[in-house]
Amino acid sequence: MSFEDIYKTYWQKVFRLCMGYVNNTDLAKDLTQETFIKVFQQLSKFENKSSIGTWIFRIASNTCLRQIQKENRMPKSELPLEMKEEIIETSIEKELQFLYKCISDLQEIDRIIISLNLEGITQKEIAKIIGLSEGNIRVKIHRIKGKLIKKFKKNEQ
Amino acid sequence: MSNNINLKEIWNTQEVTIPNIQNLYNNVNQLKKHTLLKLIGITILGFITSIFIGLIWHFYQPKLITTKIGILLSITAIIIYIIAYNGMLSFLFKKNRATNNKDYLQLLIKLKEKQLFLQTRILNTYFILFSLGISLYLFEFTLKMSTLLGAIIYTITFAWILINWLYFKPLVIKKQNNKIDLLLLKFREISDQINNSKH
Repeated sequence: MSFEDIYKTYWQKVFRLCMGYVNNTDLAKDLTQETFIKVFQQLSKFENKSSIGTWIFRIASNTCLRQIQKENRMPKSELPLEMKEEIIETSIEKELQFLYKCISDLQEIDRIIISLNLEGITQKEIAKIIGLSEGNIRVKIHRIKGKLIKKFKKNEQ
Repeated sequence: MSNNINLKEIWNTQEVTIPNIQNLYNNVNQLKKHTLLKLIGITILGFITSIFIGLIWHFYQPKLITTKIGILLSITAIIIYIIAYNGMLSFLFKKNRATNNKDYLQLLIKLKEKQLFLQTRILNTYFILFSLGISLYLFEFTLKMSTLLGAIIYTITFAWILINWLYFKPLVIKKQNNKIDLLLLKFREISDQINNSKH
């Protein structure tokens, strides 16, 4: 798989994961960009020990985890001009906005777990990305979904 | 859980224009250029400092070994400071690679602890070397002055060193460490989220 194929296939997915973590479109775009820079730089070293998807999501979630120290790195003003122009406001549906809001209220690791789950990643793969057992992940997903659905139902009333 | 599909459906409604891949390539090149320019900058700065000190050596022809040691100590201090504060230390940390979020957080915590230790060490070393360097450097010149003038010069120098040591050094260390402490706290907190979910 060439880098360009990877970029096309995974950009949206990685962006959604980052969005689930930070609930901020600009920041999520920055994190996605940073993830793909790392993927680009490390692609030659990728050993097919895990699937490429797991590998990319691991880089993406690690990038999200360290985003609090990001403040000084690559500020918006340093981005190339054409990039700034492309950051168009995303129109987010109300429901989606509420989902992001609920996810952002969760603890950091839970945010990653649920985002990966909603992205369709198997529990086995999520366990590999996070570093927990499959059993733990299963329980966590169940609990998190319970919490989210409760909030949705409350919101509907 | 029948509501599952619902959440997934909502999740998948997020559509965003994928930025042109060329932007990413530009960004990679920009980062490379930035690193290179920084490296060139540091080298030039180090070079100018060395030439400046070398000129002093050449024109004043110090006779005493103390002056020469003083000059060398000061250069060493400046070089250590320049290297450390231009992020060159990050090269030390680049080799590590983590396999999952849990290991990655452990790595981040270790790196921050190391950085905390190194930063304090480096700043202390800088202040000690520089103070010692200046004191030794001055010795030869004050010998040529009257005792009173020499005493005044040394008193002022020591007072300046003392202010630096007691006021500025703790201030700088505190400021730097506070930032890292905050990151450490956050990383530990997230790491605990993983560790506490094991049963």
